Amino acid sequence: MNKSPVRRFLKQPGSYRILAGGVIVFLLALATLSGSAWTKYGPDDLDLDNLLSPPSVKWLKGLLTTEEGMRIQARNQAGGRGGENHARPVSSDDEDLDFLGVQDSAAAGTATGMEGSGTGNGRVPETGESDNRSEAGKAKPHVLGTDKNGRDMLALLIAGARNCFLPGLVTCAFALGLGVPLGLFAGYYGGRVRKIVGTFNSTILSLPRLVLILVVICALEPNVYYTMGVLGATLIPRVSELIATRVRILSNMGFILAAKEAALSDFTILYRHLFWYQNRAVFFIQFSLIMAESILVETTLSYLQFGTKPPEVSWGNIIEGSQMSFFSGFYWITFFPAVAIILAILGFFYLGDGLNARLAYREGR
Amino acid sequence: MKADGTVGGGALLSIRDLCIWFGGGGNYLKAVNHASLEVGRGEIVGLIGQSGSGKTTLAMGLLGLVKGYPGLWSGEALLDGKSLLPDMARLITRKEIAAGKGDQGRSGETVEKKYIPFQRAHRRQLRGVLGREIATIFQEPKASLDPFYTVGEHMLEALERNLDRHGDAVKAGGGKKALKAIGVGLLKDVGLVDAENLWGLHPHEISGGMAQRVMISMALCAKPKLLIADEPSTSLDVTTQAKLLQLFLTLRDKHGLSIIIISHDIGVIQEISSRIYVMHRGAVVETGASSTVLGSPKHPYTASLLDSFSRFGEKLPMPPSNPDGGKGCAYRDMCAAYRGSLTAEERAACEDRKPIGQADALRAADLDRAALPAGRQRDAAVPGAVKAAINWSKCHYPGLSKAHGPGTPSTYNLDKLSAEAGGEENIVEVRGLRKRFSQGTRSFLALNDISLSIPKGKTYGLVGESGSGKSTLGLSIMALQGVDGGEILYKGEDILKQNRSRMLVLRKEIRMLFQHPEGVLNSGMTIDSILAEGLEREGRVAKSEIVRRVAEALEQVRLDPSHGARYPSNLSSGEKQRATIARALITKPAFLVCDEPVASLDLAIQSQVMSLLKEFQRHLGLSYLFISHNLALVKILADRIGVMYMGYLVEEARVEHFTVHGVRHPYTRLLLASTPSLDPGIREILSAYPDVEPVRLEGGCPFRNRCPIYLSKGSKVCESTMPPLLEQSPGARVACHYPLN
Amino acid sequence: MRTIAKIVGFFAGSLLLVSFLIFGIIHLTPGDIAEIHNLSPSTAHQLYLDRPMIVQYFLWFKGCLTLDFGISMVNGAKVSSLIGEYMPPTLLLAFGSLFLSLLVAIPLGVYRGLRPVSPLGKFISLAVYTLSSIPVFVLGYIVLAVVFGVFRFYVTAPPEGPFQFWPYVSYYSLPIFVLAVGNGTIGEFVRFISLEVQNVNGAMFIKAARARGSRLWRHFFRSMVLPIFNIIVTNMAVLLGGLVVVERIFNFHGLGWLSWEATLKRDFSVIMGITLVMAFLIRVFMLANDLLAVWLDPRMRE
Repeated sequence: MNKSPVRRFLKQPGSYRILAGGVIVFLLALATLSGSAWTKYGPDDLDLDNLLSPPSVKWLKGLLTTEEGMRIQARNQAGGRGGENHARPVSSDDEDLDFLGVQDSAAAGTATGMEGSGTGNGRVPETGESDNRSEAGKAKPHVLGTDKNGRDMLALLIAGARNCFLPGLVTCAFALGLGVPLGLFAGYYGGRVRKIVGTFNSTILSLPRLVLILVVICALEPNVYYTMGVLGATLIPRVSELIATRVRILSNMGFILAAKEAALSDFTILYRHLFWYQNRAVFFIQFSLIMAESILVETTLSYLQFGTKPPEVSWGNIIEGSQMSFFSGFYWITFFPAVAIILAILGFFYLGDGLNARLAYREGR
Repeated sequence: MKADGTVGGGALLSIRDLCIWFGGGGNYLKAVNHASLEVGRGEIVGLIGQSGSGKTTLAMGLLGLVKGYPGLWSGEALLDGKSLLPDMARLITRKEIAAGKGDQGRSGETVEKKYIPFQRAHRRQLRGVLGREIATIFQEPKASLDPFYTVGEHMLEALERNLDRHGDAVKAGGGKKALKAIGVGLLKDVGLVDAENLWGLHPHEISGGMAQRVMISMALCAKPKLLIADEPSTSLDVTTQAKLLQLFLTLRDKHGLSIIIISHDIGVIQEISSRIYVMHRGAVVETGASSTVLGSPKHPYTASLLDSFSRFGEKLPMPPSNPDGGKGCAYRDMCAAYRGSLTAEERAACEDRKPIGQADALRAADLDRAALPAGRQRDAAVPGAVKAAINWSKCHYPGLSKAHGPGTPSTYNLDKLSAEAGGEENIVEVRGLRKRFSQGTRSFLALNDISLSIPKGKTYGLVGESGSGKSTLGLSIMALQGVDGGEILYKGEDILKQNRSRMLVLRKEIRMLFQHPEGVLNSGMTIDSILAEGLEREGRVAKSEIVRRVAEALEQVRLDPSHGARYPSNLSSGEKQRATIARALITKPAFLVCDEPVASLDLAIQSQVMSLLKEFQRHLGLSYLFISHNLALVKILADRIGVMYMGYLVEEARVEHFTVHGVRHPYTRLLLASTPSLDPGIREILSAYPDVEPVRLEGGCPFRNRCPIYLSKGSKVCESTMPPLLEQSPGARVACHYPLN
Repeated sequence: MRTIAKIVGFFAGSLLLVSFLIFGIIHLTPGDIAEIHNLSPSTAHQLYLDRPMIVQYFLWFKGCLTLDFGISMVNGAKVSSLIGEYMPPTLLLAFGSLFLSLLVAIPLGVYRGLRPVSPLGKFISLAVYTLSSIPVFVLGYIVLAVVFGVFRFYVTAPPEGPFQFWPYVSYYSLPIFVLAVGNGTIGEFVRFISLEVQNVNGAMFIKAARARGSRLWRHFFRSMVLPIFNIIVTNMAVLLGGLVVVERIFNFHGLGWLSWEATLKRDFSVIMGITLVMAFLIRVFMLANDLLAVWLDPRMRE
């Protein structure tokens, strides 16, 4: 049979999952690397004339807005243009809005502005500049709409990708960098080493992951990268148990005995035989699955206000910030980051699962 | 007489033209190819073939017990006139002509079933048959029992399903108690004397042999007509196997059970079955009475099977690595006649047509009972047994390839190196080796004061059942396992006392072959890189030198140089084992520990590997410690043999010493007598041994619970002291208080 | 007996380790704890903050053994009474969602395990994967949007007074649903159960039982009890972790919500107490799992 390599690739189990996951992961990596350099708006540009403007794409607009939301938005626009205070676009006498808590979120926005003023609030434009921008803004529509501070959703999403991806790498570095060697040692040396690793693992496993992270946050108030390192530490048991089990199966097959018989050094056996030639695939599978896990936790933490803190953008804290607008019918602000989160996690999940299916197929399970 | 080999009316099971394909969606693999088979009442039929010959698929597919349910069926199978397969006509969704699949135009009605409907219909068809009319036992008896249920619960479950067949007994007692009584009776029937104690045990607490007997007695609960035994004794020790085969004969005589026994081991089949079907690549290639088929095989495949069985170690042609079936005879690539004596015109027939069964009409008179050894008249007392058997083989030129001898492994024409012991130098000496294993609170000596010496350029064979400590000894000599006492001298230096750097040098000279090549060959590395790894420790070796030596090693084990670039998973099991030999040879060793190197291989491949080993000894002057559970196999290669039992060396002598009547230790005699054979005298010897399980006895002679001498004499000294290993006859050391003759 | 003693000993030892870990992490905090919260000397003394670290730990742990977790550093309330107040609804939520997960996951998992290649089996795999990748809080929003959008009604206040069916159901149903689906619990259960069913289905003893024509479900059942309990126990940690998010979304006053608030306010004694209680809960489940294994699996008894 003369089949093209593409055909042969697709015939193996898991290939579609690998493909779908790979595309998403590639896009995510691209967004992380490029940043919002190529978009019309940066994530810090406040388009104050277009607060809470819906997506410019027609069908998205129809899908993600309610009549009530549009009514408020129209009023908002008017208020924003007329009012002096850009950071507080909603007049406080609006009872309707008060009920919906927009005031609350606007206050949060102010706080954000103040917090950021020390570092780089230069990007919050002065009035004149803002006018220029807004004129330019009329020419350049917000494809995915803006949030309550007039930030472009697309730019936010792209900026948020970085804060998903990079902390994820930290998690992987911890979980795999420590988990894999521990698993190899536990499986190879057995006996006391295995017991020590087992005790360590069971101690970590008896604490809920998120709660342990909260304890660390409570004690140290670290930035998100440290927090994700802690997440990595909580994932060590999973990785090391998996690797240790596989090594034990190999050793039951006489694998380690045979390698020792060939007078190989411990390092060669551990690294070359047990890790590189036998568990390399597991490493990559776990990498994707842990990335998925860490995106999940990072967004969750940011949502709980413990992860990426507001001047920095994360998909989780976009949703947190949009909480109240969500209930007033401004669905798009919540919708796009939610979709981004789900897709990113799904992408890594599919990639890992597809690779896993392929590995199982290769090993004849 | 019909040409297709039927035995006429009265057959219990008759399978005609059965084909089974696996797969789906137009992509099929034919696993069983127009197989026809008949089993008479009260008859034991053997089904033999190498692994992958479709013998298991045939039997298990019929019972709907194969993994990856078959996608395509044709043919029929009747048990007592009742079909075992669902009515295919009603299930047909698409007819396929089998001709398009490399068949010889014998189009049959086949069913491509949408998987589940057919499977369901098949299961429904079999509902009243499985465990009622047909009972099955498997290769792994311990795994066949549910680990969560006790033996008793298993028996009760089987009895409850077949209450109607024990009607009178239930009426008499009623309830669980009566069932237990029946169950205990059945367990005793299959030789489990201690049935009451066994009743409450879980599967992990009993031995494999016991588990297999439990499986059989569960089968008997239903009073079935047919018992299918799929490699029933393959995973068992040879002494257990002998007792089990005896049990099969008893069952047939006592319960009138018909038995299909599936095995790759000719010895097993030969010992108990009256008729044989030889399978190759899914087709039955030869059939007939077992004495005829094994005495004068017609099909070259049967002949070669017999050859590899009886002439271990002879040089056999290596089969081509990628055999191609095509439209001609599927066997021709390996057929000695096709490759040798046939003329070009004659070969054309083999290439063009599939051979059809050629009958060798055999009169009933030919099955003269007198021709059979006394006491082994198989079809004697059972009414309705098949009286006439028809021999046929699917070959264009049957009978051209003759087997070299009768099918007993008694002829060794290995030219061993000169047996003279004049000033022979020992390459390895083991002195007083002890090793203690502890499991929780219990501990036992796996090696108990073992002393032996292995002469240079010779082979020392080490024989014992599982748990005898033979592998432990091998690992200790390799210094892969610590010991608790004693010394191991390699060329005069104690291996156990060497430092790391000296050990690295020694490891090049002492190498090991393992039972499972899968554990030795890293599945992620190519054969080349696995071999090259052995040279790593020699310091800097030039790249061209590595390439040269890898190629040399591959050539030594007759692997094609192109195999070097392959991954282990792309090699056959024989090729894998040869690769592990190459891996050992590449460091130019002087001494090899071979730990069951052929136990996991097919018979034909076993003899290839054995002949390689012998050749290396002759040309490279290697010394071997050859460890195996199979005494017959060890006798072929070894110059000296040691027999181990429960951590003790019980007998040690030159190879000639090891005949049933020559050996001095009762255990060694048991081992020899347990090897499947037709000699009635051996049966008698075997019957003197009690049917008990090996256990580790504290103090005294470890063998006494199975020893006929102790059991008849009841000697105190056997209970109190372990007999020392003493020279009882010239060159033979025996550890027994009362050595035989 | 020895085995059981060993298991119980391990249980006690690991609790000690966990408590030490929690205490250690909290006391890594830079600066003086009493200063962070401007505690009065008497309060600091009550929390043993004026003692050396190791003494602090033992006094704290001794207190924990008598259910005295100290007092809140923010409002001076007793931590034990806080936990006592917030725990019951949380337990109801956690076990409700566990029950729902099992109710859904067992049939799906068994079906997928028996027929992994059938279209429905494949669909289940896909659905399970997609569901596990939705974070709890996103799912919470989706559910809230649907409930608000369609019913325009949702009870947010905890029901008070005697038990009434509807208020309880409407208060608990959404968090329970979100916790079961969004936390990956159902997905994990389905995946694990189907894998286990596949393993058992391929086991030799099932084949032998099939060959005997015996009723297979009995053998399946006995082999599946332990793995299912095992997956429940390994998922307890995930479940309790998910509480934090669910309770935050639904403004549900339980332990998760309490720990979130305590973290925001850096109320060390409260978060230590909650974490220890959760660890204890998980450990008890692990203990039960080990004991169950010894009881049910004859191979474990030695």
